[in-house]
Amino acid sequence: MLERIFTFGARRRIPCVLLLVLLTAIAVNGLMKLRIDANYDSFMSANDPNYPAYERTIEEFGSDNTTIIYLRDPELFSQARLRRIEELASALSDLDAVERVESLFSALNIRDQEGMLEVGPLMDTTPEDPEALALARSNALYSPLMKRNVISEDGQVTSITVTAKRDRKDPDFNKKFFRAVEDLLAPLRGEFDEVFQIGPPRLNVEIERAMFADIFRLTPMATALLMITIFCFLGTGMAAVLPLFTAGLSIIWTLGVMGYVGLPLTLLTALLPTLLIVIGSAEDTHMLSEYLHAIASGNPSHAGRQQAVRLMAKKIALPIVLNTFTTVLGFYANAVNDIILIKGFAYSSSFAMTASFVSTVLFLPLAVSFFSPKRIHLAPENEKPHGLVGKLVDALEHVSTRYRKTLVGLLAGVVVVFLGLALRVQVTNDPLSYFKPNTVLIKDSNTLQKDLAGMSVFFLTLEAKEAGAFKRPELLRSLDTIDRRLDELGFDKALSLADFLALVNREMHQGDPAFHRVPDRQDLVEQYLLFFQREDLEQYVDHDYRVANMIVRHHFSDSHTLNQQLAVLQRELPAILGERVSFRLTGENLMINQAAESLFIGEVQSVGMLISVIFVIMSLLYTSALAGVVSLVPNLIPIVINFGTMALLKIPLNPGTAMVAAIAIGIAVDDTTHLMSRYNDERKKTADMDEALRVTVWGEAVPVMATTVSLALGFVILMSSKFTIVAQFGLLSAIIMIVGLLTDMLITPLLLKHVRLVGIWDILALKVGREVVSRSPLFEGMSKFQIKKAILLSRLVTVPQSQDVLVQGTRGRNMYVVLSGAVDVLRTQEARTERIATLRPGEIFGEVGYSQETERTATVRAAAEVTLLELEFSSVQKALRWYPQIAAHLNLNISRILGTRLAGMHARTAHLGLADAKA
Amino acid sequence: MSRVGAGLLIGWLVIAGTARAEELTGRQILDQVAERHEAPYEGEVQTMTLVDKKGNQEVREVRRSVRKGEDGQFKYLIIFDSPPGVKGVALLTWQHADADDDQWLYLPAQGDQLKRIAKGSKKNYFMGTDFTYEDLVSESRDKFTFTRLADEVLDGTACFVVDIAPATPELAKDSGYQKRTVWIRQDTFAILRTDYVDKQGKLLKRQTADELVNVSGPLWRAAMTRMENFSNGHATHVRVEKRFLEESAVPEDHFQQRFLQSGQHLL
Repeated sequence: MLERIFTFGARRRIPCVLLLVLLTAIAVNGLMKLRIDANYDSFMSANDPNYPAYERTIEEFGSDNTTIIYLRDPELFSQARLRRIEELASALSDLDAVERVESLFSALNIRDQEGMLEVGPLMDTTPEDPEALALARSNALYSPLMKRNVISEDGQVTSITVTAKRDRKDPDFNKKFFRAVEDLLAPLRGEFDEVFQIGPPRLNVEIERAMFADIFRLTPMATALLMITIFCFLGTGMAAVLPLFTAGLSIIWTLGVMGYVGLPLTLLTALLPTLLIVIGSAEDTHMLSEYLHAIASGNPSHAGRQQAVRLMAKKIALPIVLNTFTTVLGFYANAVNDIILIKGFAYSSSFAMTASFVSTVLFLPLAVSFFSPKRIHLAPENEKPHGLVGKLVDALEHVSTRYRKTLVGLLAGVVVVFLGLALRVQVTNDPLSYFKPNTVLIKDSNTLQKDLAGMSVFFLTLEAKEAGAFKRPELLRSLDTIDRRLDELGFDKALSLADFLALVNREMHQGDPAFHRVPDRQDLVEQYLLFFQREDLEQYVDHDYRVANMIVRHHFSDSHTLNQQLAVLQRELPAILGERVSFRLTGENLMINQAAESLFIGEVQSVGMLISVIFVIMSLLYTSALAGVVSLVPNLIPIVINFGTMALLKIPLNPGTAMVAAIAIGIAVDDTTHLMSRYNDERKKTADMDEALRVTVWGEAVPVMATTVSLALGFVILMSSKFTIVAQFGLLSAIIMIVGLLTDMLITPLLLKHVRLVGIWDILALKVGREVVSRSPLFEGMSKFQIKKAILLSRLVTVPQSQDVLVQGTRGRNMYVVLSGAVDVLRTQEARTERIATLRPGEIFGEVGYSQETERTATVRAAAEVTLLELEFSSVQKALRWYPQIAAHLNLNISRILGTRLAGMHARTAHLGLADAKA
Repeated sequence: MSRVGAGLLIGWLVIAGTARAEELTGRQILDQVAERHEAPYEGEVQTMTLVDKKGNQEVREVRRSVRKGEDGQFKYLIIFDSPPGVKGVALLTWQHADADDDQWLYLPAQGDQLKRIAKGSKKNYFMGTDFTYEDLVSESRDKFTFTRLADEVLDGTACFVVDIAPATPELAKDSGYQKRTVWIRQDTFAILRTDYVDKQGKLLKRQTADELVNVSGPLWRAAMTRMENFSNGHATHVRVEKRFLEESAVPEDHFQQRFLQSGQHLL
């Protein structure tokens, strides 16, 4: 079945071409519907339990979607500059969806001047005389509400904070908003020393820009790299070009389907073209390698090419299907993650890998049925590879045979150390940390934080049970206590109702700093509150003073630190607030950062699921749990190394690096399955395990190294991504690929040496004659499945007519079952050779030597070409160690056979004795 | 018409004209307004409702007294009676012809010292309402220019429409508005609507006079005045519960600091 699918392209060329054209045409239509989503909230957890509370908070206290406009100029308080700021603030408030604009022109000025109280806007319009300009500057710098909020301490920087209510139904809202603001800022750039906007809209736009920069830069790099590496390993131009076509097809199909089902292009799914080129080419390389080997030993004519395709399909179909399955599973495993961004990537990428498989299986056989390389540089199958790969294979073989124990010990040590390190890996999901530190966005963010306060905002909302609670001095004092604690914990600026009241209190006492605190009496609080308009306080307290809201700005860009500081705060808050006040911490920024915690859970789940599935599949395929273990061990080591490396390089677990382990196991396990499948084939050919291993390694070295090196280099390309998380994903994946290659080449052969695997497909494909099943005493009481398995654990030998299988007088511990044909049993006695029996399918011989090494008592010769099952005592015992039921049956049956033989001999001896006596 | 919404009109000199309506200039129209609707002594008991953009309401009871002095200048006293936390809070304003007004704030919880409010604070909002101090006091019409616009019909009533803007840049600095546009009933010269345009030229607020009643002679007052603030969605509704026009309702000694310091203003 599989072979038919894999040869379809070569056999049915026109239908295959039509199918490819049709699929591509459908996909192109879907491609037109592809949506781009660089929105901030896809970084959140899809099921964040805090979301309703967040919505309640923004409904009550306004949106946290704030864009901050930074304006720096040494002459900030000149008429010219202020007039521009005034115009800008006015124009900003005219923009659609703007809820609030806070600037020097809306800031509340509360100040006692020579015993007279001023309460009102700092400026309602730009002052014209120098005296008024100087007074405005002095008032702004005097106000604790304004300092580091709308004005820097040196008075050269101001900010305009624009709060917009984002239309969540409009996916382009942030982009449009950013552009609208940018249009207003453009004319100011020549006038002010520095002007920029920062906030979620810009973040979205920057993500989208970087996404496209990545696509247009990384894809050609990956393409060039793929061609070069495949050309280096396989040595033909054709092999280097064909994978590009399969990758191209799968890219179109994937993006098309994403368009149809509504999966958007995000900063992660934007990587798919690169990944499809890099990862998708692995299958192409394996298939082309097999094809080239086949064509090298055949001929490049049309018939020869068809034959080579068949041979390729026969050898490679199953491993390719298996590999695709594990790779798809590796990508899909990330779907357990709660973060929308990762979930979307998991769905898209697992489809992409499937598409890559389909395009390869359809297109490659089709293409090679038309073209064939003129010269093939590959070493024949069973010879050591040439050149550098050959030298590397030598070195690895040398290490794994000469220093086996040291190697195992060393690996164990490394694993233990890295496992210890892995525990120190931190999690982060802050959108700013997605970008590289040298990007303009991060520089602007740092500038903003240095001069004013960080751009990230969250709300600490305190809810009392009764109306008017936040007019009580003790609760207001607790706001003050929290404010100080936030300051100690490293948050940049927190504003609450207490700050406003403390300021009025100070100014009602002629600016005496001793009174810069919440008033002691509730009636005074209530009377001071008359100074404010509802608008001044609506972000900080609800209308009936039951719920208070603190607005906290910070610059933490790693979730670990932020979450840690918040955890400290959350522990302390109940003691500060008492029982009657509950609190909640909300904000988009917080939800995104808190989603970091779900990264860890998602990581454990996805890797756990993947390991279990691979274990089960491999165990089933090779009909032994041991196969599951063998396939996992070399791939678990790289995961441990991955996490250890993350800790060493201080790379956090983020939406990029959280996917590495699952994806990398899914890919790296491919090499292991190739090695296992090849070894299984070789073991059928030879009883010499070392020889089988050597040939396995020789045969697989080129494709395994070619794919791994090109994959690793492909991942290295991702390091030049605009996003830190993608660069880290690339680096770690490259490391894990190389480590996976080394463990596969060093550990897998060591493990395989001790196991004998039987593939389920061999069992299913094996044709065993009815006579063998019904007549052979060796298989008595065994099911057909068990018989097939026992046969496959042994060695099949074909002996031509008249050749001896056993020679009388020699020693050996092999026994044989006739599977087809017939053998004669000849005994030579006193120079006379007599045929004493002819054995047919199902019958056995050599069983005495098998149970105890003795001289063969007869010669066994093939009467016609005969297929025999050879059971060599020690290797069968070793192989059967993992199949105890079959071992028990076989041993019992051998004992029975021996018993029967013994009884027969005894009867014959007794008969001879009786004859002698009679004589 | 409520004094709260119509402070603008009160102190204007009466230059009554006999010109026909269609020939009146903007200034003449406003002169008519002052002539008909000015009262030298006025006391009101108000219910002031602050409505935020979500519709939440905060209700206050306020007493407001106005007295015209011998020099033709007015004195104002606003006293809060409820809610209990702000009972006794009072704002005293003395208007001067050629100088900034004097204002004192009395907060009972702060002690018996009155706090002077800084000069030039006319543009600032008054006690959380949507009225600024300049909305509450009257000023000489000489400080303004008047531009009569095309007449309009407002709610079925023929109105004059006049733009009022500060006369000089200096005066403009003291005002929070670029201009005000008023709609005045042609029959009674009562102001029905005032639009306030901010310095950036945007419509900032709108004051409407509802339930106009003829309280005495040509004098009309609104039982309900609404001020809507378009910039923040907030509104202030003032309902006049009681009104006194006799001099004895607003004796001169009520407009002294000691009246407040002694707590006599408390009911």
